[in-house]
Amino acid sequence: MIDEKLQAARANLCSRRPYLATALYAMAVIKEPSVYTMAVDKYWRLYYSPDALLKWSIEEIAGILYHEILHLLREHPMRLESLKPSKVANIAADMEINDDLEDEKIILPEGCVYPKTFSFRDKLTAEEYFEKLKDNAKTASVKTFAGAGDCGSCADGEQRKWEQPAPTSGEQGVSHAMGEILIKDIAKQISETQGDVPGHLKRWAGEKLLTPKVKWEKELAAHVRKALAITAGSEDYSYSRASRRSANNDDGIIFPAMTKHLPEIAVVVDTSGSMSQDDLNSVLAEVSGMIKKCCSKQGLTVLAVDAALNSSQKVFSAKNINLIGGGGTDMGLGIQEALKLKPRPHVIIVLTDGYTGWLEKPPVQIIVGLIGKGPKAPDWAKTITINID
Amino acid sequence: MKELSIAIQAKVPVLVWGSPGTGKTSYIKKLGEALNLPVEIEIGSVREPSDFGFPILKDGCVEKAPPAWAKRLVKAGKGILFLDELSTSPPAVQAAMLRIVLERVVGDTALPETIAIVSAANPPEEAAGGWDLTAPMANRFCHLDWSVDAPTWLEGFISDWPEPKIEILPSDWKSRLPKAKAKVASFINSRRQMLNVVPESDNQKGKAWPSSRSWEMAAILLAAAESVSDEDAAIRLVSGCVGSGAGIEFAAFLKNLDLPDPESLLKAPKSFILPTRGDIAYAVLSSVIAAVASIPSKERWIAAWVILSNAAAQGGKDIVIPAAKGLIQNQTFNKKGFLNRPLPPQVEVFLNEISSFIRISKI
Repeated sequence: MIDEKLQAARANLCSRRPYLATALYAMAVIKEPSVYTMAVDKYWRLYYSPDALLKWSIEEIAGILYHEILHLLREHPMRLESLKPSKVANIAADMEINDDLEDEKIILPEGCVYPKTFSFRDKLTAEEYFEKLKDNAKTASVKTFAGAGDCGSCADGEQRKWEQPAPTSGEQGVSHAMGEILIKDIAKQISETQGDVPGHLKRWAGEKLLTPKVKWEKELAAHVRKALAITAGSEDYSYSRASRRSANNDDGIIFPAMTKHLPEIAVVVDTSGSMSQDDLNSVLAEVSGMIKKCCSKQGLTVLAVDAALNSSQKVFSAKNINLIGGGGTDMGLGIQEALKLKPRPHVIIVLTDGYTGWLEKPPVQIIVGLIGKGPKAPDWAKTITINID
Repeated sequence: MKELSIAIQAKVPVLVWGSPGTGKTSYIKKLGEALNLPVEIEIGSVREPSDFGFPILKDGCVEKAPPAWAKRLVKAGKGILFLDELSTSPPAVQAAMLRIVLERVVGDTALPETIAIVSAANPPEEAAGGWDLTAPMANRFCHLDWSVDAPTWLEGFISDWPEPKIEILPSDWKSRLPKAKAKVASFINSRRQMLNVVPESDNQKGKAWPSSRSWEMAAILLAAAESVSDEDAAIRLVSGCVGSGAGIEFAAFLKNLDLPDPESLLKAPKSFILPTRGDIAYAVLSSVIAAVASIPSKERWIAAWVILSNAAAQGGKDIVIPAAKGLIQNQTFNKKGFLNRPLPPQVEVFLNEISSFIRISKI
């Protein structure tokens, strides 16, 4: 069994970053006194010297483990393999990681390299740091160990002398394909984590899953478009207008043509006072803009609601909107009022801070734009979190 | 992308996810040349549903005339049909394209089983007006990610795209199917909860997930990949069918076919022996927790605690912590009142076992 201090460090990291457990325990652990401190190879095998464990605290070891996992998650072996000398590539990769770890207040052992060690800007990529470091005289002076220019082949793809050869089937170690899938799974776990996830991991997971954190404007537009198409049946085929293809055909068959129905949309705006007029206006401007794009010259009905319906108006431009209110909040009532409109709206968009009661599932599509960090709307609504910067 | 060539020969429907303009089409064309198969390309976003079966009057009946490309494929008796831009086509067109994939029918014309169908889609965020695939639809494909890194692109750009990496399956590859099916079956037998996991989060709904259907596709692809002894391709293809979570567990299972069955561990928790390798120990403990969660009973829950105490006593002190969290934080156990005080003595034993370790790790 491996040293208890290393186990303790693993447990420490695992409790703070539970979504890294799969990565942490996928790493085979090998005691290797010829390693200066600790190192990981590109097959996810962790080599450590017992001396390093004595020298470092639990938090520092956990920090180094975290650091090495990030090399693997960010695919440094593949990205940096062609950059030589590999020592410089390794330092560059360390800088890319360590500035993020510093933001997270992760403790690393004394002597780790940060961009500021060389007076570089934070948040650059390893490739960018490599370009800067290549001709820098100071580079040669870095005293290397894990976290500072000697992390093993996990950082730069270059095999070290103490590293074991590529694992054959059944041996310890993670193959390239398996590594890819592990990485994807960790990204999935991060994207499903509800609590606080460090920003760099969140961004990383989004990129891995091909779901970059889209701006709320885009997300809202996508939901509006989808809701309109589903409920109003737009972009479907109808015989009310013959397809131009019917003319091409002497058999007298009439084809349906694409038609687009004009959907009715209502926007219920929470004017209960907890949201500033400016915030509301900017969101509303966005909403009316996207609606104009999706369904031509249709206006939309805007209902200003707090604990009661204050105003209901058909608007064609965001400038015309008059929002009155300031009392308690009841968005359930707002939706009910919107449903009374004639013709009944196909889609209702609710803009609220979330501190409101809701009623049973309404018979039409509901999209909730949640402004701020309030409680989520019920599951029957599509919720989009809107962050106004 | 050796995986794509394997899936094409195994005739499992593939969905390739990738950004526009990254050379998917030219790759498929080259692949067709290399495999000596005719390639037909249909781009969904410029099509109407009637393009996949045009109604004509014949002897007083309406028939759906196949498009020329379908006739060509039927005549050739082999080939690759490439349906591009699946996620950016209008829903009605998407439905028509999916019918080709699922039923192998174009209008009134059936496509022979010998024709491989490959679809491609852009990630919804990159596709203007994109439509997500529904979960049942997504489950009918093996999902492969298309990624082109700069070195590969440069190489192809200068040398006019070299021959794609392909694996030619031996003619008797299907003889491996029973063995592959047996492997999948024994995995599912010991991880019942992995048979069907409908995705919950929105952004995973249009991706791969485990179901009886996708496990069957996984078995076919596993047999195909094993016939060319390509372990990496096997892992990627299986994960493409059942998703990364199930894929990882299955790969670990394949690597160590002697992994103990969690059900038999739960029956004799006191005689549990912790595997010496950390990755295997972690996999075994996770499988125990998952097994308890799939059939939750207080007896099994307590048995799991006994296993964890045993594991901790044998030196796996850190590995048991995530597993213990799984036994505490799972809502089902909480609702069933397992966590009500007083806690069973087995839990106390466990806590005593690891209390000093918890102090050292500063959790």
